[in-house]
Amino acid sequence: MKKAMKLGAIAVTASMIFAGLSACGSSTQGNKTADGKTVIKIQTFNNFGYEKSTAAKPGADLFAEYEKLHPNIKIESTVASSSDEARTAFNSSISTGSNSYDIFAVDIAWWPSIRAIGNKFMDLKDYTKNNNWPDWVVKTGTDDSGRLIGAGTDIGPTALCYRQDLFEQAGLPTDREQVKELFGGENATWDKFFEIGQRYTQKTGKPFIDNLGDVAAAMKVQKEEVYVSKDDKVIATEDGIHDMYNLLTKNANLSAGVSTWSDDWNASFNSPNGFAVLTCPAWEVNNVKGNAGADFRGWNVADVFPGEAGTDQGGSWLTIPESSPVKEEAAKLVAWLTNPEQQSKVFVAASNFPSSPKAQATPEVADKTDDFLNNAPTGKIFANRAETIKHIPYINAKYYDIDSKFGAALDRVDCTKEQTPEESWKQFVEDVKALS
Amino acid sequence: MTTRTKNGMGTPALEQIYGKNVARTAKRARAKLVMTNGEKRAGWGSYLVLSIALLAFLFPLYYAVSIASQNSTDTQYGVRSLIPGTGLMKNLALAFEDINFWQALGGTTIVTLTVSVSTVFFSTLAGFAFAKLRFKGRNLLLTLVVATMTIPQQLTVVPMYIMTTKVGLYGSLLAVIIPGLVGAFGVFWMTQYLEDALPYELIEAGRVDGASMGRIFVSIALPAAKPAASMLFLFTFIGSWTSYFWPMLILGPNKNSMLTVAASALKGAHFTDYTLIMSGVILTAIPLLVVFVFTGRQLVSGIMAGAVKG
Amino acid sequence: MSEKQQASVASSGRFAVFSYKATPYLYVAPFFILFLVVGLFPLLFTVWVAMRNYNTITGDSGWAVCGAVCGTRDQSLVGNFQWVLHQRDFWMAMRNTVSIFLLSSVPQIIAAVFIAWVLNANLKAKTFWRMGVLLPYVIAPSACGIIFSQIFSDKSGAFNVLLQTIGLAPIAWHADTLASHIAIATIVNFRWTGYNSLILLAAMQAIPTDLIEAAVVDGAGKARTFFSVTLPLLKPTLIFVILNSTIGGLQIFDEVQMFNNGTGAAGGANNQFLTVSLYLYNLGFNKVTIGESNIGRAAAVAWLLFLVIVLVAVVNFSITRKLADAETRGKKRMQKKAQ
Repeated sequence: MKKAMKLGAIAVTASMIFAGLSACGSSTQGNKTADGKTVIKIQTFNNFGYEKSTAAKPGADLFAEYEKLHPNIKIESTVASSSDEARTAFNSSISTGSNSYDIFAVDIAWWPSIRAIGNKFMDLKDYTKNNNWPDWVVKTGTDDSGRLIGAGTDIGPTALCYRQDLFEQAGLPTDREQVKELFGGENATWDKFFEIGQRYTQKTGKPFIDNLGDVAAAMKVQKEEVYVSKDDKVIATEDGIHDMYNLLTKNANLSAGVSTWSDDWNASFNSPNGFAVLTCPAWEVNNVKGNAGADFRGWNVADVFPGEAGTDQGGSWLTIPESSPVKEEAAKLVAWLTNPEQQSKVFVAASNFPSSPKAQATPEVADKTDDFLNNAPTGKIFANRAETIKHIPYINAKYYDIDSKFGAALDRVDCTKEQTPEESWKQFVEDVKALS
Repeated sequence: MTTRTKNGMGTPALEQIYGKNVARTAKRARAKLVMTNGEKRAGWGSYLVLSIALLAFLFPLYYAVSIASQNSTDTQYGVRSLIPGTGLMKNLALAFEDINFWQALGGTTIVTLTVSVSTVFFSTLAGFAFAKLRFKGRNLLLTLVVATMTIPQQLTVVPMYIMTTKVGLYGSLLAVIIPGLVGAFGVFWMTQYLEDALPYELIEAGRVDGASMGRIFVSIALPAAKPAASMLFLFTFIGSWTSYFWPMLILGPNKNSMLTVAASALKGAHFTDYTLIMSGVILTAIPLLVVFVFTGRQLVSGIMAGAVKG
Repeated sequence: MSEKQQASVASSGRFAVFSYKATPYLYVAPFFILFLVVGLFPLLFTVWVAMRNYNTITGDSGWAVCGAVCGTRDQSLVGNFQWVLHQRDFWMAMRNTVSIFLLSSVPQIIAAVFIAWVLNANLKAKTFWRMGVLLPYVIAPSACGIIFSQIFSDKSGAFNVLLQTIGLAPIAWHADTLASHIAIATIVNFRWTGYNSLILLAAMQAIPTDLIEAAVVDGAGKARTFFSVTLPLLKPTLIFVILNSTIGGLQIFDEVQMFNNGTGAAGGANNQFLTVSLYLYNLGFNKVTIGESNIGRAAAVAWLLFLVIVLVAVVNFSITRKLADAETRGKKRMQKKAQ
């Protein structure tokens, strides 16, 4: 027994020391490796295409390349499994200045919160002189006092993905040029989109779209003001959104009612009874491929998208806390990762579309085709889509809180079918009121 | 800790006074007594019911293995996922690398061992004092312990989070270890046990012999506490090994340093590839399943003894 | 005895007295010092945080303010509580938590009593069966959550596929409120039924055999003996089991987060299975908005959850006492009969 206690005491001490060691090794002070290299810690989420390529996550292996170019730098990268998880870690790190990471990838959903405390983040202007972004990307990345606190990574120009096998069964054209014409080419409208959907569903009895929320996500970003006006008034329950809501719920019969990212959504991509079209931001091609299986050949993409303006969905920012002990080195890395050359490499390896117009024009990007999408010229298609994007909606701290309520309102009608459109709208109005 | 209620003196007490062999014989005799005294052998109905229950408990594990063994993600859904494929080892190997298994196992082991040893040690120390020593404030302190036993973890999550991040432990294993070092339940459990299992006469005898309090604790209290202490160790071990909420919240950049968190992160990272996700789940379950094979018997008797006391 | 010797005895005696007086404190001190840091202080600290306008990122900025929901910008000690009580999400989370708790404890205890009763028979390979029912206990709740979220997938999961094969309609496990609660309760039941049946088995074994024999002599059958002798005597243990599952069940988080397909913070498309813990996590640590009292409100949620747990515990406790009184009377009667 005595022996056991002694052993116990040793175990406690030993593991305390171990734990202490691992604490130092990976979080707070450690910004130098044993051999004197500067350590830069970066957190991304989902797939930014910076890592080594794997079956599940294609990537351009950029960190290894940077380390080769800068032998005194060591990059420690953490990939959070979701934007939510990354956000929790971000909150914790920023709140205490504990410098868990030197670079954070930030989703547009929490970007407003960062702009509200912009002075806690580094001005990247001087480091990114050679970078090349469209105005609207720079504008969103700049805080109120004119400091560039976010370096834009990819953007999400949105095209129309469709199941050519299901289109064929329904007697619709399958060629991507014909599909473009079918939806109205450059003059495609949402009314036309839903009209084709109604014809398809009536004829086949199969769903046309995955869910209303996905379509709404694409519709709303075409507006300049969505839930909040530029003078920070909440306009979420006024006519603009209400009309959109009515149009969507009127067409609820087109929906498969599978929530985005759910198992059932994943399982629908190669199903003979799956949905026939998907509003497709460039990066989502990765998910379509992953879900359908790389050998599946049913998907195609057309250079067309309904609505009066270009559609950008997604796109993220790299930002550096002022408190980072290696912020200059980190800023150089951020500038390098987001310059046109690296953006092109990421698009070629993964499908994250470059925000840089220069990168979009490079042959690697412009000439990229994708055999998974039946050799669609994805480089050209998404570049054309990107050209139509002139702005993203005005977003403030309230925006995404309201957005999740709006998504829930549509889901109640569409995915869970527990309320009528009128009941659900009423609840949405109450929800928005409770948020303020 | 065995069946002390029905037959007077429990095995540990016997063991302490008369030695191991006597205790063992008594146990055997008791077992026989039950057999001869008890009802007739159970009928086939009992076995049928238990077999069904066992199958129900095993099915989810089988399903996990079956999905993990599929050769491609095409067969991970629907009826086909119920028939095992041949890709188990390949998928396990992939998941092994993906969650950085050795690191996660090492981290979990460090956390779990430290937490369990510390809980048992401090609980036994305090439990002995509460059970057998008289001192001012004893009742007040003991009431405090019992009162805090029902406090949910969620109530301290917010302050623990603020404190942990303030002292710069965010992301470190220490952030998981420190809140687990002591628990009110352990003290309560050891106090309850030692009150019955440790006769005052033994302590008095020690005192008369001139042993110091420290000596009495080490050579009289500790041996008497052993059965309860090893139970407390086992349950703290399992509880800490399977914990998820707090490590998930506080490990942040080091999510790969604990098994439960690493396995859950797989679900986010490969949200479409269930062959890999389930492989990860299986990998993280294996260590504790091995522990279960060796300690299952003690676990069963521990739960049953705890029940009688509770 | 020489003077010297006497002095030494006296001093060692004094020392011994001191040692006997001081040791108890030395023994409990290590525990209480640690407990102060990781148990008691945090408890007091939550009271403070719950009253403050405390943002997760920017920190403390004065007393709490409820805001537009209550129609006031005034500072108030209960501002966070008022805000939380005005949130529809909070009430949904409360409803779901209680519903999942009931669905997981009631059937679980019935099943556990039944299994315990069967285990109490004179079985071959006793340890095997007992270990068998305990097996799920060593699988982490988060892992159970991952496995079951796949079993309960709405269109592709094992359960619905089986239903469809035998010609029944699939169940919307993630979309339908009640169905999602049942699915989550199943995860909890999977892990805890065996554990609880062992506790109940122990209690059954503690019932004196003469009581059972007396009933049998009186001509009661197996079932009747069970319902009129065994079950009443199990009541205190049952209450203990329920109490334990109350504290754990009302805090449910791991299973729910995994059931929701991933590491996010949502509880279903329309909060069908958002639980209080998930809501707390969401509010305090995830969807942090600068300028709002996120973590302060989360602390308020924690206190409200604690209140509910205490309430349920008190109800349980008063029932236990009543039953215990009734039981001692019953026992005496039975013992008389047995004599």
